[in-house]
Amino acid sequence: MNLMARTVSLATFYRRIKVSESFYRKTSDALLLVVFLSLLVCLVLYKVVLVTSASTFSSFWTLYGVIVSLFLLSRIPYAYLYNDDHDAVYKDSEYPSVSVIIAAKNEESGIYRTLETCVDSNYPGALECIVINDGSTDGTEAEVKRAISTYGKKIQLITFEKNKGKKEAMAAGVLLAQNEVFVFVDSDSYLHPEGIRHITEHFLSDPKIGAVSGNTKVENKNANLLTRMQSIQYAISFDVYKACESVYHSVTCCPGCFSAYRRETIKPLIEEWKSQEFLGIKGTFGDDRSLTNFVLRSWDVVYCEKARATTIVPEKFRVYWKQQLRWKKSWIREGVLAGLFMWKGRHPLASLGFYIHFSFPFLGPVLALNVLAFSIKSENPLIFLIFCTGFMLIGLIFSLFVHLYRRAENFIVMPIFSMLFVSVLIWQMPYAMLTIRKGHWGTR
Amino acid sequence: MSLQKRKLVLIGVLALIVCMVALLFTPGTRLLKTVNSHSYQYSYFPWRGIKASEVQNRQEAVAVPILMYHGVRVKGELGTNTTRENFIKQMEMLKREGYETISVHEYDLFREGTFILPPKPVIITFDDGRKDSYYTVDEILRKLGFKATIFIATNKPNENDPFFLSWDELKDVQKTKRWEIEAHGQHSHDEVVVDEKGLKGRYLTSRIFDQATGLESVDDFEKRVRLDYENGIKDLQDHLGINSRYYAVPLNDYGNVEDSNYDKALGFNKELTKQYFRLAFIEALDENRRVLETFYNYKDSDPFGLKRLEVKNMTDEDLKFALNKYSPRKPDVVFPVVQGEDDPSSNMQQLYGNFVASPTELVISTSATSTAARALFGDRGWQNYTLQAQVTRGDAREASIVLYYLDEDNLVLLDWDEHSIQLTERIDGQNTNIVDRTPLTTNDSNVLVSATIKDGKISVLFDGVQLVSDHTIHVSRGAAGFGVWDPNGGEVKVTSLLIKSTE
Repeated sequence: MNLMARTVSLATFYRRIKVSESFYRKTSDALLLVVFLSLLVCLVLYKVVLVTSASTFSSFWTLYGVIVSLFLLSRIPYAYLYNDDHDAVYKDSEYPSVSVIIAAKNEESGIYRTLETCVDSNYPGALECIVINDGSTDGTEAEVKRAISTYGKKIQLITFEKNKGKKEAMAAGVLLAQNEVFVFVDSDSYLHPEGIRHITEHFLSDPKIGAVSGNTKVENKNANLLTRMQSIQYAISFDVYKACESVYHSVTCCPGCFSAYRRETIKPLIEEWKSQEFLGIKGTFGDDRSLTNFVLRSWDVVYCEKARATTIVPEKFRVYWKQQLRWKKSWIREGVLAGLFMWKGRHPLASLGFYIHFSFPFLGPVLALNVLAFSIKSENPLIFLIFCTGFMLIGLIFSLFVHLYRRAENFIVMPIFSMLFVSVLIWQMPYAMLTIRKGHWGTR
Repeated sequence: MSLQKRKLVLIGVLALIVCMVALLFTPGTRLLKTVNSHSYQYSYFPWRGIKASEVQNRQEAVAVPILMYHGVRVKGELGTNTTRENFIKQMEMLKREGYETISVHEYDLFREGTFILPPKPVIITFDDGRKDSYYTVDEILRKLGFKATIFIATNKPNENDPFFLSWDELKDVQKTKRWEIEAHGQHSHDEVVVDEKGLKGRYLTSRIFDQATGLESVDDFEKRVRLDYENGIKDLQDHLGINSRYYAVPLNDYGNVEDSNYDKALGFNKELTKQYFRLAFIEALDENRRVLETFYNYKDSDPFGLKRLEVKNMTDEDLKFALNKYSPRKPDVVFPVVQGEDDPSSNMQQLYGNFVASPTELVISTSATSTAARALFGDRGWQNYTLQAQVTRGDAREASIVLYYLDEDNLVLLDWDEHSIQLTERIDGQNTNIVDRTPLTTNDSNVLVSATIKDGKISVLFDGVQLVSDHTIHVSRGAAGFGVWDPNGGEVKVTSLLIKSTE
């Protein structure tokens, strides 16, 4: 908060002395860069001092703590070196035909604008939109028909009388679509006009690439504290984690809000994907992660930073909680499945990174409990406090990085998110594991 | 920015970080240590209840009470530990009552006659070398101007057990100059397998059973145990440069000796203790928070059986009571109580059996668990005094008056039954009769006994008959008291008592 106050007072100061906006921005950036580098030095120093002075380096948890820190710190240089490799100039005629597939259930408020941003995309090739109305009970169908009356044949509508689930809806779209590239867009996501063009260019630049994740940020980011926190969470998960995974062409999740697949990648998989079972039941959530998983077995998957879109995120904590729980369940399920093949045919660092990252939600809570228990046993509350400080420091460093490098907003609320994470969200994991067989439709 | 450029920037930043970390490493390490040692803040205000006049006009003490602690904990399981809150209360009580801490080394010098004790000395000791003997304690000692002694079982820092202070941390402990670090053996607290069933015994007192080679030979046992003494000393020498001369006997008396599978183990350990150390410490008897014997140590106390009070989580009031009860004072007891004088029964120490005081009589009786009873006056430092008592044996088989009581193995005892009387001296558990058993001249169960001890010579007058006169005894000092023995249960009543110093 100190930092925020400082930036704000600087802003008023510059306004008073009539300094241009860009000069103000440069100054605040320089300031934040210094803060970023100092924090980085602090964190590394803290880790080095702790490790060298720890008397119990032999303990598994100390070792795990060091591995986790190394992994997390290495994300920054990786994300910094990530390259959006599709910069060649292509002729308009080279661009493939695209089918945008949108599954919608009770989305009357957003679906028209979603279709608008898709159809109005600045795309040189052929483009069609397929909307699957998955048994909506509100005016979704009317809204889609209104869009059809404006844009005509570019939009097709499939209607399910009864709700069948997002996976069925997506599969129906895939079966109908005949174009060369399929783009999945959520019914509450809005594409940047250049989004589809950038995302398809990856397929032109590298024939090994089977799927591309777009760069989705938060539309309603300034609605309240919760959406502010989610906006920084999205920024870090895309511009740090996905960018890192993309360096070795091994992105593990192309989010449903905006991602693209080759036709020849997805058509052979679709039946298997639709009927996929885990622990004896059909998976009904985390469809995007599971689809990416199928593709990742035999194709490269990358992240396209330039392919931008925005999406609406939950504004109520209860809804956010449920969404996070679903994500965690699909993380467990798909993580286990991906773990079966991630070790072969990949850059060793990509595999290693995957397994370390995958261990987080399992070992993370245990590590936290361990530190807490040790803190109580040795009667030194400071130990747990130091652990939490380290955790918040990493969060702050990530948020400063995405702010400085990718212009992400709301980095200032990151410490609050870190606290929320370590005190509440981390404990979803055991619950998610116990209830993994229960599933519900939808993203909210 | 191009990839090439970004790589250069990255290398630059990495170099910067490495340089900064290298530069800040030493101050960072120091900061962590400071944070560690100052995470328990405490401050004391000396003007809280202490009067300068109380501290003045005090004489040099003749004995030192020794306190023994394990861990001082903020929360968690207590067991033999002390809560920090209570520890602070205890230490502030010591400060308020005018106690001054001395080191074990200073006590050793006092025994040699080259150190003068302060009026109210106390030794504070911690066993085992745990982290919670230091981090939660040092701040309090520092603020109160106290010092303490810590006994290290050296295999703990050798094995980097996180519950115990590491050698690096012990170096910091040493640097404070408040702490004296002494020996507590090496593996001395370990358990070992003693038979084919896997039964456990203690490292120092049991011969190890090995499935392949059977029971350890006496030679191997002696070698191993001797090595533990030598290694404990050597570790302290090697890591801290300390030449340790004092030994806290592990597990208070080498562990539960009943568990031992070798009956000469205890004797062998005692021999080694005498061989390697100048002083050794054991625990004073207590039972259900009641301290049963003195933990004051005199100039001539057994150097290898120095008594410590295990304080645990006593209240400060209980600790103060125990310190007062056993503190050396001149022989001066009057019963029945004269108005305005102290009630002697409040200072009476009940070793075993029952003891009840009323305004007119003191009753010592056997209990459900004990066919004998013994209660003491005095602090075991008494030397020259006279005792005059009116004692009723009643139906009890045997009544006794103990004249010098150091411990159960060192005492002077007058005992009589219906027909006869004897006066015995017991030195290191060996009885010698000063007066052999002789027939009584009276049938009266109520008798007047008077005894005088002066300059190592004893005289006893029993019911008007001179039993012995100016006979030399070898026990040098001790408390006075009464006892009863009857397998079927019985009691002895004291209806009047007068003990006066003859200094």
